[in-house]
Amino acid sequence: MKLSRQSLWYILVLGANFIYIVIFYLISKQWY
Amino acid sequence: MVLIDWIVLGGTLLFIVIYGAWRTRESKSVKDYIGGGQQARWWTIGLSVMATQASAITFLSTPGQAFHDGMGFVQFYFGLPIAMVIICAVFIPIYSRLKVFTAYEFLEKRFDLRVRKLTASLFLIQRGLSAGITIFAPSIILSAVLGWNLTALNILIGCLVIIYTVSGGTKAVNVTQKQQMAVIFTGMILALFFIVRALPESISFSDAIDIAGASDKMEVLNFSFDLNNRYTVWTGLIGGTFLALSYFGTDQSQVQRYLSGKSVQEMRLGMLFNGLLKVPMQFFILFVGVMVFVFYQFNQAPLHFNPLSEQLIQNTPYETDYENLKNISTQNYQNRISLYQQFESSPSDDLKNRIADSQKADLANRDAARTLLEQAANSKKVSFESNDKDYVFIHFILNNLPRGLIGLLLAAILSAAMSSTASELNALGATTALDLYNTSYPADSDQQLVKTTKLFTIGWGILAIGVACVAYLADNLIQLVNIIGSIFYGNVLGIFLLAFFVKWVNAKSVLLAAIITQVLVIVAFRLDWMPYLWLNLLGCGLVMLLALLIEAVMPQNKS
Repeated sequence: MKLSRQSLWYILVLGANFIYIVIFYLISKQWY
Repeated sequence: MVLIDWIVLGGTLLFIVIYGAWRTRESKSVKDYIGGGQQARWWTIGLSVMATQASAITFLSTPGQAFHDGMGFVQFYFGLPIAMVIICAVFIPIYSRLKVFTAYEFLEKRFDLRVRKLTASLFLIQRGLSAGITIFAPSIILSAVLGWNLTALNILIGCLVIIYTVSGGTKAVNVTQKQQMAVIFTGMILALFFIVRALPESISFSDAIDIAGASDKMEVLNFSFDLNNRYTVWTGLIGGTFLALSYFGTDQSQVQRYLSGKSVQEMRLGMLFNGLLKVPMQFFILFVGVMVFVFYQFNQAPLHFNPLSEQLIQNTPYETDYENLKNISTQNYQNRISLYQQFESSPSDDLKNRIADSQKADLANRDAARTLLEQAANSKKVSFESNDKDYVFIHFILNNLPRGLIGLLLAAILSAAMSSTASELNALGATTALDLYNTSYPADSDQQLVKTTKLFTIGWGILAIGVACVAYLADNLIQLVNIIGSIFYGNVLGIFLLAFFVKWVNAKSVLLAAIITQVLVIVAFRLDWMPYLWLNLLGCGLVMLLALLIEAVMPQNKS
């Protein structure tokens, strides 16, 4: 399956959002 | 405030207003004036969308929120990137293909003129009121802290915005918002730099985060399913998506920003840019607030950050108790400093626990002070916001930042107020002219329509200033505006979702469902059936369900 450039952008934004949540989870774990 | 602050503040704001009006003086056609020439590139759209959402209260309140409650507020924005993707995939291609100037124009093409006029009117009621509050909210804080005249400040902010918004329309709003965002980001980055620099030499950046963490300020995520907890990962992902979808997808003050894009590709990139940066940006603003908290571990903070609290408590039976709390707070602060010094030379768990106890005692002291202030306000029969989160950051700015930077930070706060107000007035003028006036009394020419839009923008500007000037008379007006928003927003989003996703629903069913829904939502609010934020969900769900039911049982509606 070939993804369009547009779909890759969407995956990037949603992926970044997921990574932010993971980073925040690590921050909470480290300092809470 | 010294002369250099006034020069930086006045110079920055005047430059933005004059440059914005001058650069866009040629906006003569509807395409230029309302559509911004449809030449905007993705970074202009992204910054403009961001500047519209970030009002002055974002920069005054958010650091104060982190000061008191930590970083949890950032979870509220987790749904925004999801909404951005939905808007890029569904909303933007349709708006663009139909070449609409307003979101409500699409509803006429999809349903009929009556649905367009109804949703445009619901938008005008809600946004018209909140434009006044966008001006009033920072004015009341700055006038309390700086002693400026509240009415004069309202009129000044309103008039500066009216000048360039009326003169250059959407293009002027876009041009000025880029500069306003530059001022805001520069101010906030410098503020963080100076906060960290103002910490004691022995405290490194990593120590500062440790101190914040030990005080529960670094707890970013909350996975609890407790419905009473407003900021959790789940409310952020579900409620946040829903709210962002209705705000960015159906509110003309946002829709008009991306419809000024050069192409569908530019509009999408602008929105995705916003989806990518919004969460880190909010994290950064909250982090500034957490660092202000750490700063006040080593510098004495006032018992209550609103300077009017001292005046309020005077000549009331609570004055003595309040003075006692101030003394306890000072002792507690001195004790904490000594504990920190001991901890530096010989760290131990016992000292760590004693520091944490001292912080808890400080928190309890502040809560007690708040209760006293509420009682004093009741005894004097005046309204007083006992939560001082809006005053924390501005107190820090005015008392601890170097000369010149105070002026820049005030310029950043006023820029944020102006950028949001400009988008609101721009959208209110365009919606009134295009969706209501021009559909009943069509203009003879493009120029006449631009002139009508300008007149409506001036009218909304004057109304916004008027609302800002009388806002202090109403108790908790900001909440009132949020309630009014919740009453109408859900219904509007439901109509748009039907338009985009349910092909077999027709105009009559939607119109009938929207009217019944609006009445029921108002009844639900009057009879206090649920907390007002849930009215958004009720309105959206009800209008969709009713429209589908009506369409199913009244097939004669099908055209």
